[in-house]
Amino acid sequence: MTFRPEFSPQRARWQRFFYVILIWLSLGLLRPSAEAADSAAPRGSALINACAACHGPDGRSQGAIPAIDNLSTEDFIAALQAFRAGTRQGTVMTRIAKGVDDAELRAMATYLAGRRGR
Amino acid sequence: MAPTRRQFFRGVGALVLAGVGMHRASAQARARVVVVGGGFGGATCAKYIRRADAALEVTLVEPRRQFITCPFSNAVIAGRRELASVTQSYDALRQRHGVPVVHASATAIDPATHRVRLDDGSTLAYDRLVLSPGIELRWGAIAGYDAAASEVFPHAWEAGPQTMLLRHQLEAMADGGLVLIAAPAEPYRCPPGPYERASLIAHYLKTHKPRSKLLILDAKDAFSKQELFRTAWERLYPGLIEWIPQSQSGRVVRVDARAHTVSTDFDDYSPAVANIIPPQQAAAIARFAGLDGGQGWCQVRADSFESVVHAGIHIIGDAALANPMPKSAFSANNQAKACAAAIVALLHGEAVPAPALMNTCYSLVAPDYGISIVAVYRVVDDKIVTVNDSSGVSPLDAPAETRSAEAEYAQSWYTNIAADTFG
Repeated sequence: MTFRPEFSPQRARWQRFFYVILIWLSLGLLRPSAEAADSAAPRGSALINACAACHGPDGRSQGAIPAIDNLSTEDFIAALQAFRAGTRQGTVMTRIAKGVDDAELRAMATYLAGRRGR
Repeated sequence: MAPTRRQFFRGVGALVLAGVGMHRASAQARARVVVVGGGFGGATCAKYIRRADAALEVTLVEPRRQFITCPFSNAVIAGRRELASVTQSYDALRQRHGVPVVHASATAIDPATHRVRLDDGSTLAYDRLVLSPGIELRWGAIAGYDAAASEVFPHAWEAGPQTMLLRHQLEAMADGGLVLIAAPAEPYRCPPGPYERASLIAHYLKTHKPRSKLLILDAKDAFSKQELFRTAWERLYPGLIEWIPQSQSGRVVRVDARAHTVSTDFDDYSPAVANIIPPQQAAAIARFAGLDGGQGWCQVRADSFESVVHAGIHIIGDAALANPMPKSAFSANNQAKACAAAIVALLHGEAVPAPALMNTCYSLVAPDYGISIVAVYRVVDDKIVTVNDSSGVSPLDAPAETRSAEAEYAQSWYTNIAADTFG
């Protein structure tokens, strides 16, 4: 591309028009890629959505089942790993934790952190 | 820095092309999804499609104005809960999630033109159709057991008036009466359901009518969480519950509502109260146009829950064949989310994501005594398989605190899955 430094009002109009369209398109095109940029995000959301059946929408539980929306990423991963290893007592979670791997735990924790406050 | 005029026009050309692409994307984003059935499967699916892409039009078709859940209806039968506490509304689906709810029944589908006909005379066009209509009771599969007979011997396997009928019969029964539960062979809705029901009715009898007896006549020789139930029954309700398996003439083959008798191949019973849970199949709309392949239940792809018979139609919940997932409210809610993610991906021309399939079912053996069964699944070669070690039931030797914790978790589960589905 070559650019000419001299000013012309006509070109300035073109430029404004060009940038307005560019920004408008970027906004439209960038919207879905916020999630697509992280390939683990869909896995995290799928798994956390599954958890919601017991732990409530986005992990905000009512009643005796613990809420999971307030856990830090580290605490979330550590808790699930401890359930899986049998070093933490539990009821259903000692069994369910054996069904998810470490990459999935990280994806879940990241997704939960992203949903916090929404 | 800015482009020259020629560069600008070249740029505009590219932008116009991009614009055409976007226009197509947004046309797809306005695609129409029709969901038939407003239970744990359908309501969840409608909600999660809109949650993932609010540009999609989703319409829910459900004849009932409010939904009475089978989960915890056994507690209503046993007098531990009221029907209102297991009644869910569609208000949030309409108001919070922008899903119009049409109170009508779907009567026909044209898979070729992507249309579904309703009993109010209207027709809905769809790009993707989700069927989550639940079960239909097979009247006549037990000789003499039809809709009229169910007013004498309630099934209470679809919650509502039948739930209250069974409860009122138990309340009206004299102490010392025989209560009979006929349990069907697999597959049927809620595998541990008949045994939770037996447990909670036994709890009611032990408390209010201690000379009564409860007999389970079973069309099979083994059942879900069997060891846990039977161990608990011996401890909590000794001598009260008797279970007769199929191999000992447990299968009910005939009822006579007028004579008030229930018969197996070898024995006739005259119960004070009989709860007949008949064999089942997918509801009629899911068997339309050969969707069930003549099997009574619908075979689906394991990742998207799309019918293997007709493209563009997805079937979830009790009506689907999703073995080894059981026909439970949790499964329906779980499959609904996988189906929603698949539909959103397909409407955007993207690959179907790997589903996160799991199931958790709590059963109450007594109000403060809960047990559970869970499993996590993966899709391998278009089949649902249980992940090693993830499946299992509560330990047989668990202490009382674990049982009471699981009973509390069961209550909390109900609140949370109801919020997840209808909230």
